[in-house]
Amino acid sequence: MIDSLRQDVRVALRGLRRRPAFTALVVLTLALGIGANTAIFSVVNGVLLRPLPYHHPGEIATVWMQWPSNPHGELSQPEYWDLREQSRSFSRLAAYASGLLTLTGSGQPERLTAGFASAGALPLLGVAPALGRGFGPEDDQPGRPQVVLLSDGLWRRRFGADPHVIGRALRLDDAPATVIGVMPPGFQLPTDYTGPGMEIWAPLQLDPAIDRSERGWHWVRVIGRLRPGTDIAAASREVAALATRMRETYPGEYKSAFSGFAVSAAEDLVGDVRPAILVLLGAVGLLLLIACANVASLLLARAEARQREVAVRTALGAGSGRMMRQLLTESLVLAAAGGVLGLLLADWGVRAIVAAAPPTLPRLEAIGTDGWVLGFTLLITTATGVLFGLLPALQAARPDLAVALGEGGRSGSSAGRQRFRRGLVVAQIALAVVLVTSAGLLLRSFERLRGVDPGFDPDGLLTAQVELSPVRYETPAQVRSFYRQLVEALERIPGVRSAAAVRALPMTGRLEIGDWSFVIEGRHSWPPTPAERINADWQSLTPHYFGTLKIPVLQGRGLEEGDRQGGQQVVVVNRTLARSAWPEGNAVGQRILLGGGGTDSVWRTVVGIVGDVRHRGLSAEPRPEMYLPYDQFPAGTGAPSRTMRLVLRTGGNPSAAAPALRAAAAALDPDLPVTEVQTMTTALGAWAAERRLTMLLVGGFALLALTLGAVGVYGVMAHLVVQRTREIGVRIALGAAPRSILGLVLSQGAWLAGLGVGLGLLAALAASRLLSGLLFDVAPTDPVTYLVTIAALLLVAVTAALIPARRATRTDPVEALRSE
Amino acid sequence: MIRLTNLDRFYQTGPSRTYVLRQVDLAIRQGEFVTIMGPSGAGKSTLLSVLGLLDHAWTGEYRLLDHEVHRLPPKKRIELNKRYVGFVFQKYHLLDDLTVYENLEIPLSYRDVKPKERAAIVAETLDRFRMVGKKDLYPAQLSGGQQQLVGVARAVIASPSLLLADEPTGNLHSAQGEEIMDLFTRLNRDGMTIVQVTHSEKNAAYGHRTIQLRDGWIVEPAAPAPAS
Repeated sequence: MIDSLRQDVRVALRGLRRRPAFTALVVLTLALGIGANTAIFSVVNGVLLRPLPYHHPGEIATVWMQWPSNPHGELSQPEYWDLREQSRSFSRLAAYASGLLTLTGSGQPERLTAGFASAGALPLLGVAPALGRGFGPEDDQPGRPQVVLLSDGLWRRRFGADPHVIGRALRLDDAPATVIGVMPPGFQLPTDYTGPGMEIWAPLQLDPAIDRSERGWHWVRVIGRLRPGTDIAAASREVAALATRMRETYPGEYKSAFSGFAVSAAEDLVGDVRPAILVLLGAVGLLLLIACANVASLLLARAEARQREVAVRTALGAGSGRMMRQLLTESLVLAAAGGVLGLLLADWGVRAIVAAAPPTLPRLEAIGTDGWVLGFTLLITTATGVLFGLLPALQAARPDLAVALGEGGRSGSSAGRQRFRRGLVVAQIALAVVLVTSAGLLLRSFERLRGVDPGFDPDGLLTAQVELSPVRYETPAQVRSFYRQLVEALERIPGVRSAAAVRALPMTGRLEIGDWSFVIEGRHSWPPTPAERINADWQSLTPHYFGTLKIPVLQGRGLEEGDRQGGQQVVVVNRTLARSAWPEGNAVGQRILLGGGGTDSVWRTVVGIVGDVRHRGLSAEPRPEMYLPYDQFPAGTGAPSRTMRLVLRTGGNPSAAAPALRAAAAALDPDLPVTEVQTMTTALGAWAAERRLTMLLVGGFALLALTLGAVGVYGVMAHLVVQRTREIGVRIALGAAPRSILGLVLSQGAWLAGLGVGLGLLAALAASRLLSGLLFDVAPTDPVTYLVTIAALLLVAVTAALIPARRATRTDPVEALRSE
Repeated sequence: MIRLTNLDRFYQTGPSRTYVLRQVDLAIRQGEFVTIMGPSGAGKSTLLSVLGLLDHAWTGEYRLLDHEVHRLPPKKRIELNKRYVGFVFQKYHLLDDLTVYENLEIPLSYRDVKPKERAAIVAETLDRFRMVGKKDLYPAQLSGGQQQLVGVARAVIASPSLLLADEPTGNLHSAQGEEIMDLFTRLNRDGMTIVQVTHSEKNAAYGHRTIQLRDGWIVEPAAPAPAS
């Protein structure tokens, strides 16, 4: 048995080696299908399937508040305490936030992404540090000395994986801190799996004695573990009910649409990217089907050509089981070769996807070809091998011996088999139509999106981020003075035309921008009712910002050097805010008051209106926005923003100004970390990366589908021409012109293509509905896309049929008739 | 050795039947060398397939040695084929992907002969047919005569009692044809029963008797000549 199996494998290998074109075609086709599937499945596995690394991760939920301008808002401290005291759905609740800490002392100063978690967070998640201990309740008391947990990455990178790191004293933001533990590799708090992740954690140190009536500052993220027997829907209803109760208790603090919800942590993490990933999974599934159809068609043709061999073997004593085994062996050898090559392609593909993936794709580090993925590959490889191997084997193992071994020894092709192969080609074309249409719709969406005016000119801009230590820059005056000097220094860099600092740059990946309410002078009661408050995103910036970004000033003026503390308090609004708050068109000259007093309780005069900027992405409509001079904000006791974005307009290549930017910052403060130095076009590219990646991948799959479809049409038509050699010979002998022979073959190809395109269009219309969430400004039934797809598919199919058709016109009638 | 009684072979096309063999009564003794002749489409190759137990879609009775073939299921018939029958084809039908050695080995492997024993038999056959120098060549590297020599060697390698040959010299020039026919004569002399289909009167003369087929009917004596 083993001996004969070995012989089967040997013969199969030799047979494949002796037909290199056939073998290469089958193996490549399979490898492309399997490789693309494995690569995308690796992403699906890493992002969607792999559970979060917590104890019973299904019980972990995240809690959010929502109001009209923010459907996914954090909680304020008082809301968190209310939730802890009143919720019955959660057995535990914990809070955390994120920020940055500057590590100084040993080596280069380094800005670290930092998580601030309440002491209950790690026990809630069921995760313990790999080294040392977690935060105790005593660490979480406000004002306690700082203790920190290191991420595995930071521990290895910065501390050389020192096992004695526990107890090490650090300086964070110029304050002392002690290392108490190291977290396990890959650990993050639930919402931090998107983006670069946190490198260090410190206790959140929330104060339960906080004034519960100040509820406007939403910055705390909340996680909970569901009580046994409570489902997430019930917990979410309870959170909504609690939000309603808060609104009723503090009517001056909330608008009527304020609510809240809870969602499973896993769903929260991947909800946004799931549609795109599922579309990709569908696309590669179609590609694999096309590949299988192609391979089945090729093997069927090969089986027909082998009828004689099968008949001879049967005559020499081979039983049908033995024959099946022999043919299946060949199929499995092909599938295995395709699988191995596919896995190599997948590995390369996964690397490419991870490299091109946007930082917003959650759990990027979990993507990789692992045991599950290998298992999946093995499964589809074997299934494909058996699927396409069995059918030809079944057909070939029952040959008509009298025909196969008869006088001519012809290897005929039954009408049923022909029909089957044509059916395969029709299916391939139909599937390709679905893929090409989907790719077309995504491409048009992307083009439409690129055509959207962001409201500023991104070319020639260099951006960076700076954060000042609260210890070293203690007073507002120090902070303001530093940024004034820095911007002046930046503007002196040769080649830099202007520079500015701003709290949040548009579309730069992170959404630091938030909204704030104000009232208009003469249009409110006191205290103002929620209805009298107008919400707008707020920005704080240095004077040359509008000029640097080329944001047009539409009315009045922009910000000027003279807008300093002590002068007239001013604000510039964008067009959307001007229109919505002052529909009469008289915004300039009006006065507004931010908040309800407190940090910025001064009346500000609207001095100008600027054009809208699509701050939250090209696909998001501009929102009302107000621009406050950095020197004047806040006017009260609060501190100006220590974390600022820098933006420089250069005359040439903006990247060339990067070293000078760093040098200018270092000249002012050698310990200051300057991060995220990148051109604005790079930042914008990262913003559109997810869309672009989806489009490129589906586009690539569509191109492969077209190629495979063309190979399928070519194969069937070429085979058909061979089958009809005698008929074509007779026609030529009877006087048929080459053109009519060409038409005869081409019309058959066009008929198959037409049928495939027709069926494919129906399927594409159904599938496009699944795509609608990923489209921008393009209808799922966009006629242009469908027309171009039809034209492309027909063109490819007819071109593929042209080669065998031309061969048919060169048939020698004498030779054709003699061969019978 | 062989007795066919009232054997019919037909193709069912819709309601009608197209007969290829009709009421065939035929007896062949062990050690005979029989020739089947007839025009194209007379049913010669089909009769050979029935005799070789490759064609099962017939009615009537077929006795091979002491086996009542008509009572056996196809699987058992294939077993008999393996045990008793060797085939030689007009177009040689060597397997293109296999060397001469492997082509000879194939029938033995289908009969589950052990590798060592197989190697010995193939070596002996290569020697007997004077093909040792060509054992590693592929069929495409051989002349027509050499290919048919391999075809015959492959047909007899498993020591069948019955050798069936369908136009064995049809594709060969006369010298090569004579060589093959001489080979058949020697095999027959050594005790092998041979049934050949041919159009050639010259080749027919190598046999002990000739059966004529027309439109599926046997028109010339089907009974063996009295033993002399």
